Parts: sequence; C-alpha cells; structure tokens
Amino acid sequence: MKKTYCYRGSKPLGERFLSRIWLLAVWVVALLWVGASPLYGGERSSVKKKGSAALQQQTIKVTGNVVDEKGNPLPGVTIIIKGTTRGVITDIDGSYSIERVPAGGTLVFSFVGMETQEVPVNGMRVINVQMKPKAEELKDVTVVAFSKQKKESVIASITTVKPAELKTPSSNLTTALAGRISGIISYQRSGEPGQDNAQFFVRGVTTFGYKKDPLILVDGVELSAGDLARLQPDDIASFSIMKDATATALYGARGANGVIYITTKEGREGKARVNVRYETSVSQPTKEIELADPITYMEMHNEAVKTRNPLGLLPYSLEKVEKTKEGVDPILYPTVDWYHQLFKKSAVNQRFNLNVSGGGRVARYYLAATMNHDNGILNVDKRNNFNNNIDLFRYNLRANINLNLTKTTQAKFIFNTTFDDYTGPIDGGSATFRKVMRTNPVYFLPFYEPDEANQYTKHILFGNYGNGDYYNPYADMVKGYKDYSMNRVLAQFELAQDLSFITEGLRIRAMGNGNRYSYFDVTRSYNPFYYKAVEDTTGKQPYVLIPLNIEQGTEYLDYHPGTQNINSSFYLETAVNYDRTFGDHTVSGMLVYTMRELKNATAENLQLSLPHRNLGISGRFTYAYHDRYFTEFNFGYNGSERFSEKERFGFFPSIGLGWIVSNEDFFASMKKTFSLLKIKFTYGLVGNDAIGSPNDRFFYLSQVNMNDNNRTIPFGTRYDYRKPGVSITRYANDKITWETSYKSNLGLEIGLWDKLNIQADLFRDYRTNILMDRIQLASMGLEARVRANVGEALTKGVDISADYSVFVTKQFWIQGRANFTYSHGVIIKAEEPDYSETPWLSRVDQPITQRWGYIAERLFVDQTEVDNSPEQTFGEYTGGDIKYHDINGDDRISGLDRVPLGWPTSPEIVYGFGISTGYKNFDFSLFFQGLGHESFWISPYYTAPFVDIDGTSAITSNNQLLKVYADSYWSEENRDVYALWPRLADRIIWNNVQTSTHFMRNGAFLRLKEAEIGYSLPERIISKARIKQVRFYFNGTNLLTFSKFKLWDVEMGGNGLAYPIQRVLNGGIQVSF
Amino acid sequence: MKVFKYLTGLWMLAMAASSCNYLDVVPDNVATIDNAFSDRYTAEKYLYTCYSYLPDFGHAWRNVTFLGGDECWFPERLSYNPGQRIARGEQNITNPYFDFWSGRQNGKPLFVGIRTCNIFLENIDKVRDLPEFEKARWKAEVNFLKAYYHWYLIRMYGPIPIQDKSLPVYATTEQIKVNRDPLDSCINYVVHTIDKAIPDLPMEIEMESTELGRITRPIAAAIKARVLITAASPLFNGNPDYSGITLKDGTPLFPQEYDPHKWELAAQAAKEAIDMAEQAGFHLLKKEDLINPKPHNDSVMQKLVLRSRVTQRWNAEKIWASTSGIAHYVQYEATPRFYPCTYNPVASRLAPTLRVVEQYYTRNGVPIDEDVDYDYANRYNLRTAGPDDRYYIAEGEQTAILNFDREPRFYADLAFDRSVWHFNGNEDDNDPWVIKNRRGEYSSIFEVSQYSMTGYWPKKIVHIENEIRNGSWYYITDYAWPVVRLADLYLYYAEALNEVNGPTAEVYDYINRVRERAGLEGVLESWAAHSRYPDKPKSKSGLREIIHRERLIEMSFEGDRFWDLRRWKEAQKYLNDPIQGWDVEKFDPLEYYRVKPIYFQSFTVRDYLWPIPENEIVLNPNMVQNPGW
Repeated sequence: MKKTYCYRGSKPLGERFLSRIWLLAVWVVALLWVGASPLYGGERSSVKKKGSAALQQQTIKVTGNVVDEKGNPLPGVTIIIKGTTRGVITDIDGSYSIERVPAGGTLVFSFVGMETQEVPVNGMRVINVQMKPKAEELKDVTVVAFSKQKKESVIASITTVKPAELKTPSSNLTTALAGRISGIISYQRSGEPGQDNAQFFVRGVTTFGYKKDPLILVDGVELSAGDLARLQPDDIASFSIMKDATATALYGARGANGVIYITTKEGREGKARVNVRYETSVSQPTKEIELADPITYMEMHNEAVKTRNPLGLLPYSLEKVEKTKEGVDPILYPTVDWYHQLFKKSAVNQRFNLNVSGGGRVARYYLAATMNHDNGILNVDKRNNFNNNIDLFRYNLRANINLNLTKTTQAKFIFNTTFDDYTGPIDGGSATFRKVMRTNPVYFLPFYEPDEANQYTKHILFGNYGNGDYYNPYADMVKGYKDYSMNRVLAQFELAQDLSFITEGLRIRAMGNGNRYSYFDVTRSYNPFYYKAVEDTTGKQPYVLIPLNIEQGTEYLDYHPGTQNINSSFYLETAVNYDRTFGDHTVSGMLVYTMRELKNATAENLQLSLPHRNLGISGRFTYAYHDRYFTEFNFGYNGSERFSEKERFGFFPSIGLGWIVSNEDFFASMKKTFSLLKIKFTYGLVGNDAIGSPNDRFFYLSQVNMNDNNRTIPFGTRYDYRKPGVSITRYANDKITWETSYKSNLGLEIGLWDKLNIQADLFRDYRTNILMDRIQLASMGLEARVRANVGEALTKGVDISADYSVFVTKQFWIQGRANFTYSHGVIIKAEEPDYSETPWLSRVDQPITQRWGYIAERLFVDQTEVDNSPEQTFGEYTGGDIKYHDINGDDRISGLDRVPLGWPTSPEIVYGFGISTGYKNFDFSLFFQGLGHESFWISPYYTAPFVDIDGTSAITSNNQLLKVYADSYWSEENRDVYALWPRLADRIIWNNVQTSTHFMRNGAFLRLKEAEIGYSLPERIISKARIKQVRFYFNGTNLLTFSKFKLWDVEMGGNGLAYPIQRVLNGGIQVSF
Repeated sequence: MKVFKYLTGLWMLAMAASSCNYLDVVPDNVATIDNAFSDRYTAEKYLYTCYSYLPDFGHAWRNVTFLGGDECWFPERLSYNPGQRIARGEQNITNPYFDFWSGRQNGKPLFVGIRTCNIFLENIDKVRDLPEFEKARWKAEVNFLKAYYHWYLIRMYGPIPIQDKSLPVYATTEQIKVNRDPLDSCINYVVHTIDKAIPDLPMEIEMESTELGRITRPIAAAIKARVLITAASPLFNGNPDYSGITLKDGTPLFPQEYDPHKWELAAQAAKEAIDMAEQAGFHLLKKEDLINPKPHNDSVMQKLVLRSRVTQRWNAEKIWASTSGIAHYVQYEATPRFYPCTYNPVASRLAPTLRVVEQYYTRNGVPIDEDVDYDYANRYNLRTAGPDDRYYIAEGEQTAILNFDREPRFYADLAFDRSVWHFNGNEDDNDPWVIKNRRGEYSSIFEVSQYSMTGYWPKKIVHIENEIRNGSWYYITDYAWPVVRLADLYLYYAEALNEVNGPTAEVYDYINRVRERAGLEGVLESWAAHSRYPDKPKSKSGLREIIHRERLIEMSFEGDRFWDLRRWKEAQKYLNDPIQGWDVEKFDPLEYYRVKPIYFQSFTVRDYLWPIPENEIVLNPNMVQNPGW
C-alpha cells in the first residue's frame, strides 16, 4: 500500500526531509532507551569530587623536569594549573618552575603529540614527569566497523598497517599494498600514470561474480579504488583490512569481499606542527621489450609468406631487402626503431606534501595539501606547440577539524578534495605502446624532411604506406593531445554526544557525508598529412614525397568532446554506543543505521540513471570477562534496491569468541616468554549485492531497449526509411538475490619476549548464491543471458604476519616484518552440463580464476605427422604448428580436450618481508615482495609477428617481431619442434592461438620492491633553527626482479604489450617543525 | 535483554516503514516488452526488429556465398575473412564460421530471430490501434520471416529443431533438451508457414518510398519454390550419405528414399511463383527498362542491360530486392583501379576464379570445350585484339584467347587485363576505361592485400553509375541485393520440369527466355549448330547439365552457385580442383598469361552441411551432430 508521502524516486526533497526525520528519530529513540533503563539509573549519582579542603587553601612553588619516553629532556611542554589559565612552559632542559600552586590542586602537562597528563600536587614540591607519545593510544586501539575497540578485545580478523609502511615513491597508494598487509592479494598490470591501479582482493578472489574486490571506506564513507589510489599516506592515521565475518557482517550486503577501512589524521592539541615532504623521482620501465632488428623482420616476413604458400606474394622485394641491408638510403629504405622514436628512457616526477596540525582545547585541526606531478615517457615533437606527453598533476587538499562544542559534545568536520589535471596523448600511454607494437619497421619513416615541392609546407610530413591507412604511432602521438580533468569534493560532518550524564559509557553520534565526482575529457588534434617517399626519377633530389591523404589532412586542430562522468552520493550514519566495565565484566553495545545514495548524471539508460541505494541497520554486542574471555555478536540487516521486494532485505549475523590465554593465572609463569597468547574464532554471514554486472540495476525488471539501432533494417526506394528496433538485454527474474558468504576464521595472536608478534589466521569462506549463467542453448533463441543464484565457491587459506623489533644498543635498532597470504578458492557448484564423460571440463573443484586450454605436446615435425595425428579443429595447420594432446581419445582435438591449465590467473600466494634498521642518524630498509601460484599466457594473438590484428578496421597494421621469437622459431631449415614460435605466418593461424600450455608461463616472482636509505640531521644542528626533524632519504621501487620469465615484467602477466611497470628511483627530504 | 529486543524491534519497524520508499527507486512505466505492443507505432518497431535478422545478402564478408565456395577468391593474408576460411577447408566444430545457429563468426543468431517473430505473433493482437488489414499483413510478413529463418537454417544444417512456439525463458534444464525435427517435417513446416502467410501479403508495395523491400506475395511464392526445389534436389532427397543419421531414439532425420514427387511439387511451386510474379508486373529486364540519356551501339547497350539486371535499383526482374545488406561495400571490393593513383580508392580484391571464367559460353552460346569453332586447346595463348573486339577488349592489346569470342554475359559480368569498361564515368562508346593489370600497371597489385589474385573482377555487381573521381574517392551507387530474380525462377522451373517430364518444349522455352535476353540463340539451335554434342539437349541428363550450367552462368556472383553446387551434390566434383588464375605478379604478357594454381581446395561429404557448434551438443545431449563433424 502506498502512503501519500511515499515518493517513488522522483522527488528528492521529500526523501531528504524523511532522512532528517530519521535522524531525529534515532536521537529520540536513543534517549528513550537510556531513559527507560532502570538498570543504569542508579549510577548517576555516584560521581563525587574528592580531596581535602585543607590542602586546597595552601599554595606552594613546584619545580621539576619533564622528559620524553626515552628519557631525553622535553622543552616546550605546557604546564597549567587545572581550573585556571595560569601556566608555564618547560625550558630547553625540560625543567620548569611554577609559583602559587594550590597544594591540593592538579597540574596538567601537555605537549603536541604526547599524552596529556594530570598530576595531583598533593603538597609535593618537586614533580618530575615522563611524557608518553600519543601514538601509543592508536596502537592499542583497533578500528572496527563503525567504531574502535581496544586492541586486545578485538576478536575479529583485522590487519592494521602502519601508514608509514605504505609510503612508496609512487602517486598511487594501491601499488603499495602487495606483500605489506597479510590478507591482501594484489598485483599490478600496467605502469601508466593514471592507469596504474593495482588489483587487490581481500583473501583472494572468493567469488565469480563481477564485484570481487573489497569495499573501500575512508572515514566511514564508501569510495572507489581510484579514490584509494589518490589517498596520501601522509594523511592516513590508520589503515586496516577487515577480513572475517565479525569484522564485516555489519556491512551486511556489501562486506562479503572484505573491507579496507582507512581513517585520516586528526589534529592534536598543541602548537602547530608542520610537516613538509618533497620528492623527485626518476621512473623508467623495469624491462623494455626486445624486438628483432628490421632486417631480420623483413627476411622473416618474407619467409612467413613463402613457408605457408610458396606461390604467395612477397611483401618485400629482394631489392628492398638488399638495399635496406646495405643501409645506403635510409630514407627510401628505412629502418625505424619505433619504440625509441616514441619513448624516452625515463621520466621525472615530483611529489610535494605539506601538512599542518595542532589545536587547542576547543578546536584541533589537521590540514594537508599535496601535489603530485607525474610525467610519461613519451617524446614530444618540438615542432608542435603543445605537449603530447603524459603530464598529470594531482592536487589533494584536506582539512580535518575537531571541535569540542561542549564538554560532552564533539563535532568533526572533514573536507577533502582531489583534482586531477591531465594532458597526454590522445590514445593514452598503453594504446600508444600497443600501436608501436603493431607498426612495420621498414615501410616508412615517422616523418620526412621536406623535399623540393614541400619547401614551404607548414605541416609535418608524416610517413605512411599504402593508402595512408597504416599506423604511424608517431603521428598519432604528436597529432594532438587529450585533456582530462577530474575532481572529487567530499564534505563530512560528524556530531558525537557523550551521554555519560545519563549513564556512563553511552554515546551517540551521527555522520553525514556528501560527495561529488566529476570528470570530463576533451581531445584536440589535427589530421596528420601522410606522405610516401619514392625515388625521384629525374634524379634531381634524393627522394620525392607523394601525398597520400591530401584531402583528409588538416593543419589546424580540431576538437572532440570526450566522455563525461558526474556522480554524487550522500551517506548518512547514526549510531548509539554503549561501553562500560562493571568490575570484571565489560559490556558494549552498538546500533548503527546507515543509508546511502549514489546518483549518476551520465547514465546510458533509464535504469542506470536511477539512484543506487542501500539502507541498513547493524549492531554489535560484546561481552568480556576479566580481560580473558570475549564474546561478540554482530549483525547487519541490509536492503538493496537491486532486488525484488521479497528479496530486498537480508540479515547477516555473526558471532565471535576470544580467549587471551596469557592473561590466565596459570599462564603467569610463561608470561616472560609468551607476552601474549590469544585464540579467537568467528563465524558468520556476509552478503554481496554487487552481482551480475554494474549494468544490471534491477534484476526483477526486464531491460528493454526500445530504440535499438542495431535491430533494424532500412526500407523504401532509397533505403532511408528506418525505425529503431527493440532488443532485450535482460529478462526479468524476481528470484535473484544476493550472494551470501559463510565466513569462519580461527586466529592466533602470539607475542614473544615483547619483541616478536605473530598473528595467524586460518580462514574459510563459503560463498553461496553466486549469480551465474544458466545452461542456455543457442537454439532457444534468447537474446540475453538467463541467470540464477546457483553458484557456490569455497575459499580456504591462511594469512600470517609477524614483526620483530629490537634495540641492540640505544642507537642501533632493527625491525623485521614479514607477511604471507595464501588463499585457494574453488568452485563447489556451478550450473554446467553433464560432464561425466569428460570430467576434466567441469569447473567444480577447480579454482575460481582457472583457465582451460589444450595441452601442447610440441610442434608438428611435418605434414606427414599431421596426417597421422588426430585432427585439430581450429583451422589450417601443418608441420611446425602446435600439436595438441587428444585427451578424450576420440581422434580429434576439439573443445572437449580442454583441461585446466596451470595455476589460476589470480595469484594464490602473496608475501612480503622486509627489514629496517637504524644507527644513530642513519636508517636503512629493504622490502621484498613476491607472489606465487599464478599462471599467465603470452598472447599468441597480440604477439603474432607480421599479422594485421586490427582485422576489418580501416587501419592496417603489422605486428612487430619479438626478439625471442626471431631467436627460436620453427622453420623448414631448422625444424625445431620445441621452438618458442611455431611456423611463421603472415596471418593468424587459429590453430596456434588457442589457449594452451605452449604459451603458458609461471607468474611467480620475488622482487626487491623497495630499498631506502635515510639520514636525519642531528638534533643539535637543527634544534637551533627550531626545526624538529630534517630527514633526507633516497629510495627506489621495483629494483630487482627474480623470475624465470624474461620477456617483460612478469607482474604484468599476459598484459605485457602495455605501458610497462616502472622502476622508480627517488630522492626526498622531509622537514618537520 | 528485553530492552534490546524492544529497541531492535522498534528500529526495524521504523526502518521497514521508511524503506518502502527509500529502496523502491524504480518509477512506474519502466520500459518492458509489453510497451512494444502498446500502440501501432511501437509495434512497427518490433516489426522492424523481426526483419533485422535477415542475413546481409549484399555484403561480401557477411554472406558466405561470396567467398565461401569456388566462385571468387581473396588474398590469403586476410585471415579473418570467415568465408575464405570455409573455402580453404577450415570449417570446424569448436568455433564454426558463419555460425547462424548461435550468431557468431559473421552469422546472425537466427534462433533469436525466430523467437522475436514468435513474440511478435503472440503479442500483436494486444495493439489497440492497429487496423485489422494491417495487422493481417504484418502477421503474414512475420510468419514469412519466421519460415525464412527456419529455411535458412535448414539449408545450412539440414534438420533443425522447429521453433513454432518458443520455449519459456525460464524453461527447466530438461525442457530445453530439444531434438532436431526430421528434414521432411522441417520442409513441410516452412512450406506450410509460407502458405499461411501468402494470402495476407500484398501483391506489390504501394508506398514505395517507405516500404520497398518488405515482403510481398511474389517473394513468398518464390522462396517457397526455392525451398521445394531444394527439398527435391539430390542432397536432401534420399541422399544415401545420410541414411544412417538418426535421433537417439532411432528416428531417421533425413528421408531415406528418393521421392520423384518432390520434383512435381517443386515444379508446381516454381510455376505458381512465376505466374504470381508476372501477374505483379515482373519481367526480364530489357533495353526499354533503362533510362539512358545517351545512345549506345548494340554491343555496349547489351552489356548495359545485362549489368543492370542485378545493379539497377528495384528493377523489373528483382522479385526480392532485399534491403538487408545493401550492396555497397561489395562494389568497393569488385572494382578494379581504372587509372594510376597514389591513393587506392577501391579494395579490388574480389577475384572470380578461372573456373568461373571458363564456364561462360562462347559467343555461340555453348561451352568453350564443346564449341566446334572455338580454339579450346590454345585458349591460354595470346591474341591481339582487332577492331571488331573493341567494345570488349582494347584494340591492339594482347590478352589470352580465352577472353575472346565469348558470350555477351562474359563481357558484361567480368573485367580482366586489357578489357574495356564502359560507364562509371566514361560514357562514350569509343572511349572506355581500359583495365591494365600486369605487374606495375595501375590495375595491378597495390599492396599485398589489395589486388585481384586471378586477374578478373566481377563487373556484374558494380553499378554503372558509380564514379571514381580523379583523386581518392569512390562514389558508390548502392542497390538492394537481388535474392530472387525472375530469371532465377525461370531456371528453377525448367530444372524441376526437366526432372519431372524430361525435355519438353516448355523446358526449352523457359531456358531460352534467359538465353535470349543474354543475346544467345535457343538451346536446341545453339547445340545443333555449334556443339560437338548436338543432341545433348535432347536427353534428360544432357538437358539437366545444360540447365545447371545456364544457372551457374546467369546467376553468377549473386550467391546461388554456393548453394546450388551443394543442392545438386556436385560440390565434391568442383571443390576438389585447384583454384586458378593468371600469374598476376608478372609483367611480360607471356608470363602473365600463364595459369597459376592459387589454392588446392578440398571438399568432403561432411562439408555439405554446417557443423552444429560443439558446445550446443555438449549442453544438449539430444542434439545429434551432422555427419562427419
């Protein structure tokens, strides 16, 4: 039944009104709860002031020294007599003296970054104080869903990483994750600035739906991987990964793939503290792909034609080959190294970060500004007056303000904005790279110097061939540029009320966040003029240029609007917290209500344009006894608009149990060795509503395109009368619901000698209701895939992290850390036909990202062997082509002979280990990272030499010849049946490009991910300039790689012909004052 | 704990109350399939959708007949051309080329087309403002399309599962395991469905500017004739190769015995189709049908008429000129370069094979190897063109004897080295374009992938008004592709009638109609006067051979040869000989005019039918694969 105020999607004003009502309701309910509770009512009067009246009247002089945690004198500490505004500051020796202190009063010691201490005077005349750094506070507290918990009481599986560990000389935070955090499987496939996000998964790929990566929350608000990439490590206060059901169940239908939770820094009381960091780095490809030289290219190209068809037409005449070899005329017989024509050896990037934090009693602030400047490695043609190289500026501004409105009311305001300003090649770096790999090295020069006829020609005389329809990547690169501009603005307001005056330990808070994202790009380019160089028959000049596209070329820039993307989201969260200890019993409770809306301004169709919404209520109830036994119950009750009304809400409960063995009395004797021993177990359900594809907005509705221009036909005398047709892209199914994950986690935390900490988790993730395609026969004639929640998958694994730190002497310290993640996910149930005859085809019990293909035995020796072997059904093949193994013995190689090959395409193992050490003012660190259990395939299609893989498009191309292929291929003279490349061809031989073991490679590697050496100026030098720290450092990433695969950087996997992963050498300076 | 419960309950209650609107973001009136049938306007869109699955007849890459057989050849380098993959014997079960079953590799998903037609037929009665007569016509059109899609699949795959009613979208795994229906049931179903459609189809299109191209009664009748003649032909009529092909339960999928009655049905259907077409005003194109501002001599005029029989838009003989796959791109492939250019305005790759070239008659209207006056043995030797040849071959130029003294259709349909080319910018009888194709000359190899591999071009399908501007652009006058021409029906009728009765005056009459328009004498006269085998037309088998050849010549490059060779079970005879052409890489005429084998084709019994995609067999254990695959 619809109520009259029940708006249906078109009147946001009404909704906003409703959400405010909601906010109010939450507060009211919270108040009611507290008011209605007789249990806690009696506690209210128990707070009383202590102290004797006599002491309060007397005043005395107090002196003393203040030192830091290492015992060094601490100058500048503020000491205030509590209840007054009177106070002093410690001098350079850390000593102070303060008059007329009430003998019964209290002194408050505070210092930026240190825990504020209140010391009752109690008549003492000398009070020495050791300050403790505030960071300790963070260490002992772990960020959990919607709140924080004392670290020892956390029984959820949450890994927290020090933000400092995420500092790498990269403008992309996602590239720092691999091997640094246990429980994260991560790898990077491209090194192009702006496109170099690493893929990352919490505990591996656990589903075969579209959303496999974790939910990313920054200060409680969902953001994208792109936003995560742009986050500054300097601004991060805590970075945690929530992995098990107890940690994620509160996120209900969205937490199944784990959660990355980041909080940003807040200001601390004290003087303004300024931190400046500046870095300059040089980046260059970790590995350049080696190509064969142009002469070999020509000879092998000719061979490729002849070997397949002795009567075939040779692409290069013998005269051309000879003349090119002699090198007598580099213009008419050119050899072009396209790679170095387009790409520089290295690029220089800069990063600058400034943050200021501080504050007083009422307000604290953290302000930060960041500027990153990334450059690409493309060359620029001086004759153009624009820059076509990648030139990416990123700015990030942040203001985090905390206000104590009253003694019990806190407000927090976060403002964060990111701008990207990009200028770069129209195609982007990777596409430019790909074009280089598809350009013939001997047909033409990138550009020609003017001949007589073109003496006064203003444009660049680009080279080309044929009809000017070949790739000239140089022309494409310099013909214009693309600008893009991205901006995200985020404003967040949070209000927290401590309700201890009602009952101790009760808090309530509300948070609202709005954010706007906008992106657009434009391209400006001219149409290059192409010329072909031919011999001058008159002999007057060395060559004559023949225009190839005089009609299409332009000398002026043209403008092409590109894509635009605008979206806005709004998030509201209100929570009630209760947290209290009664003797040995500690209880806490929390209820959170969340709602989120995302609207897209540039949707492709009506369904996509409708707002995305989530609504949920979550709760957490914990009980701990004696700091030894812990129990926890969490739930999320969530709704998603994607499902039909009856499937719309889901309930996701979880429970957890923990036992700190080391706190037991019987354990006391072992406490010296085992400083901590904690066992924990959690089990629960978490959901994932991001199933199907992002374009599947409403599963219960069909998606019909009423104006499909591909489903039409023209009629009429001139075939110009047409009407768009109708197509169906989704059939309605009101039974589709979310994917559910049953997660269990068994964890162990061990502390040894207070120096070595080990955290190990065994986990199991049973995914049910995975949406997948049903068996569908082409003869049914369905236009769209029919799907159901039928898939099931099981992931098991372990993640371990360990760290060790020791001060060998006061000036020499060593820290080591290591972590390891193993995650093996297999499909348990998938809708598939009866494979009892061919069990190797079944996906069941196979890894989720497993690939199927053929087992390549070797290459065929000759046609006779082909004739006597099972038929291979992929088109033409002969001697020198790949011979596959007949699995089912039906004397034919067909789809039935495909078996699971190698490891999954997403690695199962990711690990990292590192060591840091410091001696006096020097510090040094090394970090290694690796992954294993991953296979990838060299694409025999994209690397097939000479072939025009642009197919039917208007562009003609010739794939380059990789040097490794030139060095090892089957030829009639050298019938090497184990050669890397089969018999040459000038076209795709479909037999050879099937997925097979022939082109399969092991993706495992270990690399020196980072090394750093730093030097801090001694304090005695800098303290005079009132500077606290000056540190110079030099570091590098991707310095060394150990892998059997040498063709390109192994981490790029099958994506090797893309913008390479970069090695970065970086120098920086960091100053704090 | 009571408090907790109470509170949680309260929260949830409150939330449930608010969620009714918060998560219900979908407004009413989101488009669903029902909207397609709300009024006449949207229903018409759906009618277009039903039409949209028609194969792209006039597209060299998307119609298998252009390059999938032995009629034309393409430079090898274009490995992504699926037609050439089939011609080179690379058809396979894992990822079949021209897979019309599932709509991949340049095939259209015809079963989707059939379901679309079914949805239309199930829902069209819901449209509130569609006049009855129009509804009847639309239904008839869609019924025809549904039958045609079935037929197209049958011709490729043989027996198919008939989809008169489509399975529900959420059919169970058991329901979807359909069986193929026996071939005779398939044919009967198609014929029956066309019969059902015919009465409500219009005789001719009245609103030409918006509706030309839509299905008419003569079209339906002609396709019915094509279906029945295919069913009567050796491939499908008691073919012993298919005798053991049965369903899992033993039901034979192909007719086991030869049934002569099928030829009677075919003849009857052809005659009906001819009558209906003639009643609708169709006739073989003749000089008077051309609007021609300039006078031409007879030779040039004759070539003009013959070229126009295919290319003239909506001409008097195209019974079904289909607007699906307008002949545009194919002309770009079929045109040679006419003068030196640095930029190649044409692709110039579609190369008729020497086999097709030799198949054309001599000017006496008989095969070159039968003509007593024709120097067959020396046909590859050179001869210089004299003044009498000047409307066909450039005077004073040398070319092979093979290119001399051929029938008018040879010169109208083909271009070759030293041949002249009238029209397309050179309208003057005495100043035509001259094709020069020896190595280095302007018509020859432009790039490794842009040239005629045989030295011939199918001029027949190039519109006379296309213009090659001196520069870089080719202006193409496109035309709707002739799926069925009247000449086609005449030859069908002659063929079927000969099978029923043997040589009769009526059979000769229908062949002669076609020959006469081509400037040839009647069958009996020609053979009697010029052939080594003067009695050939007088026997049933001799006449059958003549009808087949007449058909291959008259219908060349229009997509018939590919299917006819299969239907006659003669593909094995033709498609196991080498593909040949001139040695186009040479300049010296003595070297150029040497026959060069280009490819050695191989065609086996299994190639008569398409393979059903392997995956379909894996998913549906009831699906029986075609023999040999």
